[in-house]
Amino acid sequence: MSERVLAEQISQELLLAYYKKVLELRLFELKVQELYRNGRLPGFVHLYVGEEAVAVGVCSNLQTADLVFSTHRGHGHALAKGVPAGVVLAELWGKATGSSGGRGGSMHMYAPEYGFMGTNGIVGAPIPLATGAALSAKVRKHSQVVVCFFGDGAVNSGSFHEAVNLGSVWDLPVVYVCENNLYATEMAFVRATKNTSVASRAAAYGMLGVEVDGQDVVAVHEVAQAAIQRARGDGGPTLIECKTYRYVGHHEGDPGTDYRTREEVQQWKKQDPVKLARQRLLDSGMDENKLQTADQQVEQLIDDAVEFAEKSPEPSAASVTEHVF
Amino acid sequence: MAYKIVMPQLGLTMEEGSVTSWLKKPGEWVDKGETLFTVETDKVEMEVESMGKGYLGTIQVELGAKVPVGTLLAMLTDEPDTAS
Repeated sequence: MSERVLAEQISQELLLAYYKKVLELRLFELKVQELYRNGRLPGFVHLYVGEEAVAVGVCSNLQTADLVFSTHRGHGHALAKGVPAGVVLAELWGKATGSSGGRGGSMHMYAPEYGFMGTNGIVGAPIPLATGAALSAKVRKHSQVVVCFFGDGAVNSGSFHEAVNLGSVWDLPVVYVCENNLYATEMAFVRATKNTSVASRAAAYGMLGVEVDGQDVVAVHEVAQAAIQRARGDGGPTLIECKTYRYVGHHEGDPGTDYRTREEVQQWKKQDPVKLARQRLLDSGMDENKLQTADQQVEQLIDDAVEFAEKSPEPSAASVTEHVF
Repeated sequence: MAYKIVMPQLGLTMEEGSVTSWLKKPGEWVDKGETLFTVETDKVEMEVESMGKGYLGTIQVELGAKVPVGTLLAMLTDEPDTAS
């Protein structure tokens, strides 16, 4: 199916909503980068810049009760699942208003009230957790669907093989989404495995595998929609491989230039998810003024998030013994 | 609006760093996202993109001098600083 046909199938209104969300994820991460570099945010951050269309394309198909399990690069997943930007930023800032009361930070950020079951510092670890949550939904006969995000670095771990196999044999309502950004920290995927098609590995577990352009929010949305509907209809899991790229280093502080060429980074920026979504709107006949208004609304949303997080209180000293065992 | 350029925090353990080169001269216009200077830490040498935009003012630190994270390196202003 060509991209043109896909674009005609979704309304301009939805397309605008996807565009604004993709832009929100982008501007959020750039703001986090600025605050972090200026020494304002504590901890350690892995930014999602360049991969936004994956989270938005997938999560735009989900309901609040559906669950998302995320990675170390998870701010975008939280935002796409509906956690407010201010709450995510406050968590990164260690503030009491953060989703985990400021105790989780970037890699232990939970917001179950939004169906966000956490970022995770351990590569591959969320895959069995998501599979277990999907088993729970099935046993309880709940209509929940579980989505598990992970990177290419996770697919050569035992937890991937074991969990995906179980998900398949038990026909669990889970969608496994691999964000293949070609590098696990500094390790190129082609140096880590002979079979660089993650989607093809689905055959090993007797399940459906689909590869999609992870820079195109509409393409991701379409593929994820089919997978999520299948999962909800007791049709079992799907493995989706989103071909994507991070523009920034692995973490803040990694120049990201020692193990890949500048030309490669520039090449991927030509397929930028923000620009692609914007171009789709222009092609659909939306005028530039309306787009600029949308841009301003998203910029305002990020400014408001910063103000909320900055003005929020630190957790009180009296609460230091809470949440510990 | 003036924008402060500071020695960036590049990673969890970085406490100080030195500017090894500037890619712009004082008085030149800098756009957001343009590579502005290079920093050396005990772990990496890294090109740093500008987080703000404006005319680059007087550079406040010597090349190669180790300074703590957060040290003011220069300002970006809406009008070129005629003194520099």
